[in-house]
Parts: sequence; C-alpha cells; structure tokens
Amino acid sequence: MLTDDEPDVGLADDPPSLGDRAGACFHRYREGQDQALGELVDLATPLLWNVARAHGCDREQAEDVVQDVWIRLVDRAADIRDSGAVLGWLVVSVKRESWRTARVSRRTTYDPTGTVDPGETEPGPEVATILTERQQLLWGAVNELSERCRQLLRIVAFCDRPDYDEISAALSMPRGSIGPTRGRCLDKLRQSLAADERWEDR
Amino acid sequence: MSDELGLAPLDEVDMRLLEDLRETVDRLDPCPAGLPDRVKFALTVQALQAEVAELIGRPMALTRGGDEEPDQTMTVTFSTDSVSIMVTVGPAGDGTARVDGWLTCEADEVQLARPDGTSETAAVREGRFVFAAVPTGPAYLVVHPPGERTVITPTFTL
Repeated sequence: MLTDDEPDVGLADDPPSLGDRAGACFHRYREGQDQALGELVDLATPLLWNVARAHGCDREQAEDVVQDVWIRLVDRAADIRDSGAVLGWLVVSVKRESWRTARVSRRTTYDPTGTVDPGETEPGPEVATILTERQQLLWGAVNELSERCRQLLRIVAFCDRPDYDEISAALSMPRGSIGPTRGRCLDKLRQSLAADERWEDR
Repeated sequence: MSDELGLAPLDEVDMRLLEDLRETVDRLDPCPAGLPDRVKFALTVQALQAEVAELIGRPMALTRGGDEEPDQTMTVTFSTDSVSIMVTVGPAGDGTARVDGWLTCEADEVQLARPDGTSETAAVREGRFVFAAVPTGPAYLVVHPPGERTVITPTFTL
C-alpha cells in the first residue's frame, strides 16, 4: 500500500546503483588506485555468485568461475572502453563461463533433477531449519516458476533497479523485453502466493 | 528511466518480494563469505606475478576463527623452493599485534598487506623484520627479493 510517508520508487535522487558504484570503482582502479579494485570485488562478487548459480554451476564451480572472470577482467581491463559498463561485462562473462562449465559437467555427471540448479537448493528437509516460514512459502512458490523466471528473479533480486540494462545483457534479452518478462514472473509469483492462505503480505 | 526502456515499473509489493527473495537466497545458498577475499588474493598474486609460499608450520593459524581469543603468540613458517619466512605474531590485546619475522633471502623490505588493499612496510635488517604494532585481522606478507620472483604468503590472521 502506497502512503505519502513512503518514498516513491525511482526518484531522481536515488542513491547510486550497484552498476554506478561498480563503474566508479573501476574508473578509479584504471586511474591507478589499486585499492579500488578490492572495493569493486566486494561490491560485485555476491551478484556474480548468484549469476553463476542461476546458470547451472554448483557451489564449487561458481566459486571458480567468479574467480576466473575477475582475473580476466584485470587482464583485459583495457578492452572495456566505458568504465560504467564494467558490471555488465562481469555479468555477461560469468554467465558465459557458467554455461560452458555447467555444460561440460553435465556431460560428465548425470543430474537427476534435470534443473538448471543441480538440486542443492531444491526444497528439502533442511530448508525448514534454515528458512523462516515466510521464506519457505516464498521459496516454494519461486520453485514452481519456469526456469527462466527462477533465473531472472534470482538475479534481479541482487541488482539495483537502474541496473536492468546489465541484467538484460546477462540474460541475452533485448533490452525492452526484460521488463514484461520480469513483470510476468513477478505476477505469477504473486498469484501463486495470493492463492496460499498461509501467505500474508507484509 | 524505466519507461524509456519499456519496463513495467515495480510496485511496493514487487520490491518487497524481491527483498524477501534476496534474503531467502542469502540464507539458503549464500555467496561464500571468504570468496571476495580469495578473489582479491588471487588478483594480487597475478598482479605481482608472484610465487605463493606454502604454509609449513601451524596450519591452525589459517583456520583460526575470529571468535577465539587471539591472546596467544603463534609462530608460522612459509616456504618456497628458495625462501623461508618465519613469523611470530603476538597480539597485544588492544586490537594490535606485534609481528616479528625472519627471512632466508636477500630483501630490503617486507610488506604486510591486507585484503582491503592497504599495506605497511618494514625494513629488513640481517634477515629480520618487525612490525611493532599493527591492527589485528587477516593479512599476508609480500617480499621482493632483488632479481627474483616476488614471494607472497597465504593470508593468515594476526
């Protein structure tokens, strides 16, 4: 429910987005401030981890992929013309490397769940001990969605709103199409939760 | 800004759901806490084209958690084919520690570096170096033997 007290979404004085902050760090790094690279790693690694996990890497592979992409960034820092594009570059690189890694491992190991995520985060008995009831309901509903929606929502949840350019690039969608898809995924999620009497909007 | 991209704006309920989802994923499948630091270490090794020294003694030093009282002096040794570095860390109990070190190679100075990219330097005299009072926390040593490859130790906790 919108009230006058609550800030409107999308005002011009929004704090800088993840993409903006990442771009600023990368710019400083390229100006010779080595410490800025560490700040960039702290900022972007959690998102990159989720990109890798959403694209089929197990936890160990995700860690390797994220680390390799960082090394590649430093090797190829000169190829990125616009510092502001660094988050998009990282996300795209992690996505590609994740696909490649996951494809190779699917060829060598049989994944009985057949999902993009090799089973580890499927609802299981351990979920009840880690998550609140509300989170369990949400996670259950998310897992009912299509693979595409699960991927998209997981990554969107770790981005700031103005960064959707980067997300659309990461998911190889034309820029205009991420909105409706995201909207459809969220609508489905909301419908499914609304149908569950245990769910309460907060 | 979202309109020009043809994006349906998110409403409050969407935003909260995404927030909830983020918290849920963070609980269920969190990004490993040490990953950013491991990435930074790998980048440093790469930038210096360094050789990573192997931890020889006291592997506990690497696994010691932050909860434990760091009130005991500990000694660790790191080694490559050509260099050994021994350090004794004595926490002062006030958030700082004294680091005494010994080197088996020629070097003018030793750097004590942090995962956040900051570092301090100590002069080496007759193979010996001292950091009298440095903040506790994760750190690693960097040594540049003249004419040789840079040597870097794994991260250990002061």
